[in-house]
Amino acid sequence: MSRNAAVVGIGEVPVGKFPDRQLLDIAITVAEQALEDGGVDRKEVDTLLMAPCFADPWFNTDLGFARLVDELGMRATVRLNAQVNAGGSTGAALLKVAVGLVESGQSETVLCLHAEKFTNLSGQEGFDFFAKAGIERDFEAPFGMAYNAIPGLTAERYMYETGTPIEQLAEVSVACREWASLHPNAMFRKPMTVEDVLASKVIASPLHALMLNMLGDGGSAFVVTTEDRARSLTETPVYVWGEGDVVSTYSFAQHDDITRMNWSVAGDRAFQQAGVTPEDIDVLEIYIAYPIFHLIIMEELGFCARGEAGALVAAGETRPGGSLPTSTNGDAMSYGHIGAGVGVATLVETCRQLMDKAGERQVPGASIALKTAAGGAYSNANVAILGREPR
Amino acid sequence: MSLSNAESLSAAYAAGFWEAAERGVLAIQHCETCGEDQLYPRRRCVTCGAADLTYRPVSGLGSLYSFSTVLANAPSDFIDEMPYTLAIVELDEGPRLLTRIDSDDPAALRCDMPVQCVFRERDGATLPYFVPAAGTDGGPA
Ligand SMILES: [Zn+2]
Repeated sequence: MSRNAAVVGIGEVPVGKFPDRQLLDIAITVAEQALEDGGVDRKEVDTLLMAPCFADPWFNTDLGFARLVDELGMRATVRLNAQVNAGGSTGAALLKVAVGLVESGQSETVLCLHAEKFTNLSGQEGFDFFAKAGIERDFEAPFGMAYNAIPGLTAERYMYETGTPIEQLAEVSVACREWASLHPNAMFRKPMTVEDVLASKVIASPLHALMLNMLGDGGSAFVVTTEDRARSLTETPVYVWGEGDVVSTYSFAQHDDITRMNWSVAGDRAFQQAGVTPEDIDVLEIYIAYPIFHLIIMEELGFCARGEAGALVAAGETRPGGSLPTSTNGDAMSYGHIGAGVGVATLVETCRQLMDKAGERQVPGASIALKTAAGGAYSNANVAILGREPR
Repeated sequence: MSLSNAESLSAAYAAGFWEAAERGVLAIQHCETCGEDQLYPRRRCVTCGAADLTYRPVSGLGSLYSFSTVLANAPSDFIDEMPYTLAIVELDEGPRLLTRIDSDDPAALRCDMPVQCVFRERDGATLPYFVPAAGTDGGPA
């Protein structure tokens, strides 16, 4: 007997460098925010699912050993305490697992959360971490592969094939920054221009520093329960309409076409399951951490034709007030990169828009949203379509 | 990151690749079950999962699928080499690999230009780097 699940509550702490903020403080804060937001009593939670923490291996280990069950006062009421790790796709995986557990009747109320503290690492330790995390260890790392070269290689090929100018990649950073300037929890909120982006140092050609992202500390959480329970708890439950996912390869250079990846396959699956088309999407929440992939995703998901996304962004259509509001939390370039949790935060932002709780950056009347996630060397392409009403 | 983390250097499944490299030959794997070729070396065929993989030499010729020059934020072991140019090369035989492209004239690099394999010693391993093919801008005369 299948039943519907819904997201009922969300929580999030500010992203940035907060050396004095402990990981447990982040985890407890976002958990309690999400429970309070959804009107859920902590004793109702029977399932606790956690994203990985990359920068503190011992905190990460503790999560699997039920540390948060004690810290959150959930002894004996939680029946499943488990980590879900799909790298940058963890937000998508958490949603899928939580909804599946609720809809199959195995769980009544699932709390999903993430906490990360990259200030535990120095800048160089961060570069070294991401020279291994998501990088083919045996046959790519020995050449000096750096994570930022992934979007660099992609952009070089994409610009060659489509004729897209570098200025249009800069426009993506600028549009995301404009959204982030309206987001109290974003790491970088100072408005910037295309000229600023192009004046920043080239890090991995053809990409400038302001087309990349900065590691930060942060965390977020969400609560999933049954549709029946959701209706008694909140005016604004959020429902999953459709999902499309592809897992391809561990090794970046093994993608058949780095300028397309598998986004059209994932998108087609999600649109088909949701029974909608790109024209129906009110807000597009891309988490992909680099401007080049914004353009690719917009095209491959059918929001515009191949090679036209850059002009769409340059025309302001993805900015506040545009026809295709995109990445309203600023994506990792402006929101800050909090490891496995950017995708969780993007899901939280998606729900926030559909709950009409996004404050200054609320997209008026947003009722259907599409969100993306990806992990590793873009091993995953995850698309989910969510709605304000049950499908 | 040190190359000592590349466990394939001492792993039996990859020996055919590294031994060929030491002889100056680029080798790819061929699946005797489904007939597909593959690079990078793997313990199983990425197409069908079979384990009966054999190595065969390839020409070392290919085209430059894409490239990116690292000017900052390199991994620790590579800071001294900056700037260096990473590349994806598509071999004439089909498979692609992540590699380095060395050129006297980096500004002349273009996607799809012909390239050829040259082997370079680095940190105890013989790695297949690429250069612009003989007769092209920046390539050997
Ligand atoms: Zn095979």
